[in-house]
Amino acid sequence: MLDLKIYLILGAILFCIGLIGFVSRRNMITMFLSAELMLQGVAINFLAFSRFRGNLQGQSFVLFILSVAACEAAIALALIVILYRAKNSLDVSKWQDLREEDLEPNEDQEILLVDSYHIQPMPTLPVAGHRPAKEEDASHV
Amino acid sequence: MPADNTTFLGKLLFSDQLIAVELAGLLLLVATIGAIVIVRQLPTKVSS
Repeated sequence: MLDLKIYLILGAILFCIGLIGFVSRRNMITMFLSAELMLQGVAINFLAFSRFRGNLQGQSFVLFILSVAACEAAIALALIVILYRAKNSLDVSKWQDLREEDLEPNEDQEILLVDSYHIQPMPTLPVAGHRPAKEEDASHV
Repeated sequence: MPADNTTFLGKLLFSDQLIAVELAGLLLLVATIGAIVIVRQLPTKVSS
């Protein structure tokens, strides 16, 4: 008999993979699949608890979660189709004009591939002590 | 027993949660029709 812990760890791993994929990708379909992955991680938690408690409510609830996820997939893919028709791209950053009014657009920044250490000038020591008198000054004295 | 589990799950679904199952089926139908309506390309109006 497998332990309950294994199922919970599996659900947590699925949820983390989905979360990381959702925040780190810009492709709409990849983000949607990551959201689905998070949903299935939660569903595995439901199944594990319901199975180890001998309670059937959780399992039937997961069936309803799956049916709602199927509806969500249909609607989300339809929305992705019309968004692709509008901009000919699946990149979500093309839709930044949907942001709130007081937010700045999130622009890409160039990643500096050259090591910046070799570009900076070498450090110089500060001048310490008295500057030695020049010859002109020495003639006045 | 896994077979008993499935048996009880089916009995639970079609006795206590029958209304929820029917609503889920209706939701699937509505989502399908909605997806078709969203994706369908309307004929472009000819601007004269």
